[in-house]
Amino acid sequence: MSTNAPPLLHEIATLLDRLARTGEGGNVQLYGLPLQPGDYEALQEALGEGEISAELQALGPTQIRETALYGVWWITHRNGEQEVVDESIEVTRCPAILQTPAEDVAEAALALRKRLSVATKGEHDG
Amino acid sequence: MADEHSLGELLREQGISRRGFLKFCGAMASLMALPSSMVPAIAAALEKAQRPSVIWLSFQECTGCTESLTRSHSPTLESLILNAISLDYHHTLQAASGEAAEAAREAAMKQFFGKYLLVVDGSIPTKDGGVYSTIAGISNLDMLHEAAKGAAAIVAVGTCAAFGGLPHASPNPTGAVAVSDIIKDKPIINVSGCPPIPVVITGVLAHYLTFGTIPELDDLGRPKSFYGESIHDRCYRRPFYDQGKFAKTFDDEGARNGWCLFELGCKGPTTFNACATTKWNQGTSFPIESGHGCLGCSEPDFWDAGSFYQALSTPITPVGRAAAVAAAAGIVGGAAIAMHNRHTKAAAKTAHQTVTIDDLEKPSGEAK
Ligand code: SF4
Ligand code: SF4
Repeated sequence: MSTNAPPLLHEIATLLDRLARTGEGGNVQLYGLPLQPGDYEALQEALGEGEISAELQALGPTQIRETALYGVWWITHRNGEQEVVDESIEVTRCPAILQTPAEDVAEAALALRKRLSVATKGEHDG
Repeated sequence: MADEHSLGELLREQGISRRGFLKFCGAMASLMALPSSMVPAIAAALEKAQRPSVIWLSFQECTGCTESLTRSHSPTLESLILNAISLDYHHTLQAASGEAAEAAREAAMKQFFGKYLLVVDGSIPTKDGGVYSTIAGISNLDMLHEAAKGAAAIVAVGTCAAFGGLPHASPNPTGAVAVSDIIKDKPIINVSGCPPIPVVITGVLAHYLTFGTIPELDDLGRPKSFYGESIHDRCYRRPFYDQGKFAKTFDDEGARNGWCLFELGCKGPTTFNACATTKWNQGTSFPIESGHGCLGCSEPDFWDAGSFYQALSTPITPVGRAAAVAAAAGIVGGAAIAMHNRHTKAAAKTAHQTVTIDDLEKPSGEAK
């Protein structure tokens, strides 16, 4: 018996419509929902497996998977002990957690320049 | 001791990446039951947050609340939150003891006067001048008065600190009372439960850390984000309740089919807590999932509110009609039942029924 999966699927369909029309999606927080036995599996089955799957290693692993429905991502955050600390379905063209933070890009440029200057200095010295 | 470093700086010093920080903020948002659209605001606030000083006093208690916290759901997240506060005194967790420990408490109270967060677990015995529980020769009563003076807010962790709990149960030999019975001029957040769910304790700390304010509270001083709904409102057996399908004994066909435990004494309808969604033991399950009704441990006087195995009240309307009303009114229905049952519970309390072995063996249906 599954009673909570169908309304969630309707919500996802609405978010997909909005993403297609306005570029703005949204998400469904799974953590803390009173899912009944079978709801979770029913959702997974309805959404299917897509073609992208990524893993982030920060404070424990995070799985980021696009489902068979383009634009619908299933994101599971785990802690160092593999326990789920947060789980959501994101409707977006690319989840924010996958994108590189702007400050990190700036710091990476600085770090590379520093490395290059050390290397060049090394060459001159040698 | 609390220092000048912001939380963002502190986390980066510990080698936590910006993506890791974002993940941390997302988990904090779900912990506080806030929508994920708040994550950027949470991230901005936490990036700049200063570490608040926390003084934790354990009074007449069983250490279960501290155990609950240190057995937390998500060690990385919890330890981050614990690192993010400056726990200046906790006599069970700190390394120092005796005079050194009390000196640390006094120093923190002086340095952060008006700014520290005071966490209390355990009730406060007031009979005979409070002699029944003392720390370093100081009665709990005196220590609470003294420590409360400079506190920005007080978190009463566990049903004992929040409502008196087991020590307060009849006949209450030590005259045990709740923090709020003694301190009247400070904001008090009651994090009830026996013990409280670990993530609820850290969720409150997280809220204070993020927003520097106390969360919105219900009429019993509990954070609405965790105690806003009853166990019954969020129980996965609720469809059976609505259909009038009840287990009558712990091993009948209904029990095996996972039907509602109302008639076996489940206090879910009158109990406001997050067990049904947050769950226990690393998110494994909660008592109703293991086939036992809720005891109502996060409510005042749960120990004196009649037998754990007696149904709250017989539905006044035939079950079918009650279910239709409840279904039409949705959550409001649940709240109405809860209000009704709070009265029933008060009545049971005055009658003070004790649990006998008969209660355990006899299905409540027959007992009536
Ligand atoms: S009475 Fe108890 S078991 Fe039944 S639906 Fe309510 S909380 Fe769940
Ligand atoms: S299910 Fe009820 S008795 Fe059990 S821990 Fe939760 S609130 Fe307390």
